[in-house]
Amino acid sequence: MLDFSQILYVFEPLNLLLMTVGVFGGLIVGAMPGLTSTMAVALLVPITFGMTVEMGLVLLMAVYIGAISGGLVSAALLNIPGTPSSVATTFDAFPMAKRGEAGKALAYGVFASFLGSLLSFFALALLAPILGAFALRFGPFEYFALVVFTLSCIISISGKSQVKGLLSACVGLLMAMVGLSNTDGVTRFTFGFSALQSGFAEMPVLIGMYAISQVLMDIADIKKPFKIISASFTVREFCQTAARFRHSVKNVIRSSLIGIGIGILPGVGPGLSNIVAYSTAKSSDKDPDSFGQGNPDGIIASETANNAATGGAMIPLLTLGIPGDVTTMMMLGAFMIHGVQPGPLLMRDHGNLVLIILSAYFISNILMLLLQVYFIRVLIKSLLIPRFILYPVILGLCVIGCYALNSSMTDVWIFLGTGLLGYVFTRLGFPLLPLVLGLLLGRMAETQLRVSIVMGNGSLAGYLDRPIALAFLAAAALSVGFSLYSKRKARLRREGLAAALASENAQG
Amino acid sequence: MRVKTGDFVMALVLLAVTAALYHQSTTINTAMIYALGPVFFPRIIMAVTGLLSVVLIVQSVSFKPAAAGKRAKQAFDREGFIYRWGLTALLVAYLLALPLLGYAAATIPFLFAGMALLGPRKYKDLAIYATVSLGITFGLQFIFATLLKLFLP
Amino acid sequence: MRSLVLMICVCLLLGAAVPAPAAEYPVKPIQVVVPWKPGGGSDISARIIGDHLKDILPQPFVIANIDGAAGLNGALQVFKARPDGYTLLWEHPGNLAVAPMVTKAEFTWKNFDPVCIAAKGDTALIVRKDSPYKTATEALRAIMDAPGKVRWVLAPNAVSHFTFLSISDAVGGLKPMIIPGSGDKDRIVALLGNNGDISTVGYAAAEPYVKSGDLRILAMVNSERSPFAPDIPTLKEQGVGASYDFLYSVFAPKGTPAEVKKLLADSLKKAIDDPATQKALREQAIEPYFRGLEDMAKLWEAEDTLYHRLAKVNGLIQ
Repeated sequence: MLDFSQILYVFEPLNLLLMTVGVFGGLIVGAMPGLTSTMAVALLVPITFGMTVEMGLVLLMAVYIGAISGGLVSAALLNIPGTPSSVATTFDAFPMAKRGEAGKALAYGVFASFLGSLLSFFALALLAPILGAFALRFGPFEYFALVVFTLSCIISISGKSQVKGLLSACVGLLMAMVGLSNTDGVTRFTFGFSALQSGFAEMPVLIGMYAISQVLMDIADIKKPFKIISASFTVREFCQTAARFRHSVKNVIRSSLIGIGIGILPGVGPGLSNIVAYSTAKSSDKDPDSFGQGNPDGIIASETANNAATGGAMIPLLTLGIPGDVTTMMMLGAFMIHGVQPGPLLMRDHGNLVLIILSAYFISNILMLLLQVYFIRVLIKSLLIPRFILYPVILGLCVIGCYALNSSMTDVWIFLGTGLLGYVFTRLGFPLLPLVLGLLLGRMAETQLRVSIVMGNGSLAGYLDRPIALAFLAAAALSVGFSLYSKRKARLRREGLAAALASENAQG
Repeated sequence: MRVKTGDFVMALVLLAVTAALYHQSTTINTAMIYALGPVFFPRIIMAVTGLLSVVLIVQSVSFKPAAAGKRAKQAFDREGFIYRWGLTALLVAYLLALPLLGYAAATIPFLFAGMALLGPRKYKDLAIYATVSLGITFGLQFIFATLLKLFLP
Repeated sequence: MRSLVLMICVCLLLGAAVPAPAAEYPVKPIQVVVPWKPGGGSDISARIIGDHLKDILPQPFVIANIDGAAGLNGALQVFKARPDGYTLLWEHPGNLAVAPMVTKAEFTWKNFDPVCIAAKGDTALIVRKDSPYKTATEALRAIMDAPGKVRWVLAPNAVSHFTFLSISDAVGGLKPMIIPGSGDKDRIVALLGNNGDISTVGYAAAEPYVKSGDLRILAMVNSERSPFAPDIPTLKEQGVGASYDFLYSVFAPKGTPAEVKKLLADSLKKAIDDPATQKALREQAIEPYFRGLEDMAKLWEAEDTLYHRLAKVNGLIQ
């Protein structure tokens, strides 16, 4: 029987302290460009070897929450997403920060993160077994359809030129093909470099693309300080921002559901959720053009979804022993190191441990909120650091971060190479996000497509029997159709306006 | 006739890369053919990439007469140019030096040189840069090597 | 405070720069490269044994997880490392023998110096709970009777593929529908979600699902009955002449001094013979299994010959 007094375990002073340290450390790691939540957890797993199971998991939980939430900071203040899960956050948080409202941008993000985690906590605590069983129904057909759906979101967020957006996605997909192939174990497209055997890792590419290109783009006006309107961000201001959320209830709920849903699926985690939530929020808004220019709903959608996905990713881990994303895969490692085999029996054999994890998840979120509210002020001050000091330090951090991921210089060179590519892309108006998405999804897309064709006996006919897959494909077609339609309408409206102006001028 | 040079060149580069990848795909060992083989999916993507590159080439050439004088050529930003490529060169030098000199001996000069390149160069500033470089380098070393038991280059 | 850290760092740097006389080996931590993510069988066995070594050796084993490219990344790192005994590789034959062979890497397992085998892991042939097959022979017969129907989940060109090939070889050729799944977890998920029918996975990974009744083990793929599942017959007992043992082995870069290797092997033996280590390993369903470097070379050679033959027969290599 479950022993609910175990919940008190996390309230022991030592554990509360441990969690505060964990959340704080996670926030710092997540906030530093180049260091990520996956890395934080990966580096900590071996350290927990010396602790008791309970303590180790409580600490990891706290660090995980802290680091995912900390990713917001570099995304909003520097336009450098620390992890794939905060890519969509940059779209609106950075323009807002650039206007001088850095505090407000962070406050939106922090509170959205909190709400996302909270909602996914309830999903985790109440519905875990049902949702876990649902995730198992996803086979190759469903995964491939999901990839198609996510890629279809590119069209709606890829700015002016769809051709450039699609080309960028293709480059990402081709990069994913380099190295040892998942499906066949055959070496491909390495051009004879054995260092490319393992292909392009996501993190160096992501960090390089955003950090280097951002630094190189901004370097021209390096002597201008950042604009800061409200340097002393007060708790009162935070509460005002939080109150603004009553206008976005629908957005919060929709984005959380997207986050939880995508988080549950093994293999795809917060990295996709924020993009899908963002593009959904954008296309269901009355004024889609305001997205990308500092619309709070953009920040809310992205940050709610990526934090909701953390709870989602814990669901298959706790109910089935299957990790939902890379970071939870590391957590799985931590369980195993301690001799706890996560699996369908975890709830029965180690129910108390599950309770402790759940309460640690909950408490960590509250700690995260409290720390962040006071943290924001310090963070805004960090914008006062002159950029000629900040930029070399960022680059140095990224280099060390990339190296530490796998103790390999190859990753560091990939970081540099993709960084320069990212700079060229940005100068030419190619969006970077499709490339990152293509890289994230390429291997999965290939494997699942091929397996689904094999299972359909050599044709695509197998998709017809799979309602979930068909639903995703239909949604993809609808979303492409809708965004093309609304773009065309916008252009016609602009041209109509220009024509009207021209005729007025002619008359006048 | 006007050509958007950047887009045009980029499309050509992408075409060339696609061609090179296609050439590589013919050399892949397909002895163990699992369902459609290891070049099936990449070739689809290559075809799409090639097609889109051609579209981009077509788009980058516009036959409308150039709207003369509308966009005055931007003044060449010499300072920005030096900063940008100076920092890139430093980064490359840093990466080359990292495996040879080790972590500390490569990182401190890189941080210092980067700051000195981008910022003002008075004695007082230089002293600040030196302190920050040392502090950051050893701070990171402490975190990675001592706390996390990670081997730095 | 900063000056203190600085001083410590300077000392560390100086310490690293002075070449160490071999007699005092080890004078600094020994990096053990596990070419997989933390939490797998290789990683756990290395960590447990490494942890129990700390009273035996003056310097600790530090586990470095360098994963990617089917374990080749980590192997490459050790291949290039200085042969001074401060960098070791922790790997099993399925990978270090298979991966370089099928990818034509610049090295094979013969380019490393064997030190010893430390532990052994078990493999199980599994099906879903509602599968119609009760024994391994039944399942294999069904695959033979209906080629291309039964879905076998395996990681192409990796251990589970070669386990399948050797089973197939032993019964005269099997033609299932092959579903790719790399890693024990992926293969288990494929079975649970009815996207596959039969597979081989590490026993430790399958155990919780077997206990909960979601999966059934048809046979163990080990050469002998596993002490963790003494009631389940091996494939050989059911008349199928195929087996695979995960032999977690320690390698050093080629050219490591013999006395260093001997010291390492002796210390590892001491750690593995310690009842506390054995208990910790068995809790993770890993068998303590020490073998010296001659035995290790012999066992690896046998595996290597088998894989080469299987690869050739099935057209994976020329």
